[in-house]
Amino acid sequence: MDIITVLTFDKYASYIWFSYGLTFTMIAILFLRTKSIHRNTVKQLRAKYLRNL
Amino acid sequence: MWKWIQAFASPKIFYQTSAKIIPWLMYPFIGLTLLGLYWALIVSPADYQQGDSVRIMYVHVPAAWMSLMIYVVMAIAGAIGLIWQIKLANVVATVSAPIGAVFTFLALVTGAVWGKPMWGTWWVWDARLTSELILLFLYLAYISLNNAFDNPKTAAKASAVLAIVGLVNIPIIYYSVEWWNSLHQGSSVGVNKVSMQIDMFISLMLISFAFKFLYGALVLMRARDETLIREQNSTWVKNLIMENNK
Repeated sequence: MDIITVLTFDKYASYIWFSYGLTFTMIAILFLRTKSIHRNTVKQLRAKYLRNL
Repeated sequence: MWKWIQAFASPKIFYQTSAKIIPWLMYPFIGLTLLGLYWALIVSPADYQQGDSVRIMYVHVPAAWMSLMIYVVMAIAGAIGLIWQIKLANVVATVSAPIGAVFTFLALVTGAVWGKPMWGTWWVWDARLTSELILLFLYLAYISLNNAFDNPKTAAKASAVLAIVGLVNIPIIYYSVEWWNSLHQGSSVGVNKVSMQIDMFISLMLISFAFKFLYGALVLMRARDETLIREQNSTWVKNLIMENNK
């Protein structure tokens, strides 16, 4: 039995792949959002300090 | 021990130390996730009653566990901030809320997706599902309340009280399947019992631990930024930002 056959999961494939897809998409969004918060924080603080120089 | 906690709770020490810890949380997260996916989707067998749909459990249950664990962490951190005025505790509580809300959302949606083929419906107003939905509302209320105040101290106090009061919902979620007649199945994993096949249990544990490492890494990453904002008038933050600018 090849791996593709194993991963089709019969009639439940759409439910299973949607659940895993959504879970790891949300995790990716959490990461990207965290990175974006970091970039914005550094940018805003730098701008503030440069203004007050 | 107390000295170490006090030192780590200092914003500057925390900022420096956490940078070294983050990779040690990220690598296990990636490793455990890849191994967990392999075990959940390939090694683990189909259930004799639920068929392959049981594989949804390997993301649904760890997400539900995380939703409860993060709320407890948030309430404890809020209480520590309220009682001992430790700034870092307030930061941990604040940054945990959006992560907890995401895991609660995932638990609800993957639960609904699992419920459709098993129960024939996406949603029922069952005690377990309803109390988990209330948990999502508690997270959203916490985030809104935290953003409603300009003063971070007032925001931390008000949201900590909400988190502590909302803690009453946690045992309700956990024991709802025992206290009320529920369509939701009872727990298969307890302190002294595991009523599932060993490969199913391994898949569940791998993804569950992966999520815990992920939470640790995300909390530290977000807490570092929150620390920079709260300590922006300190010389060390100014030096750090301006040195990186060169």
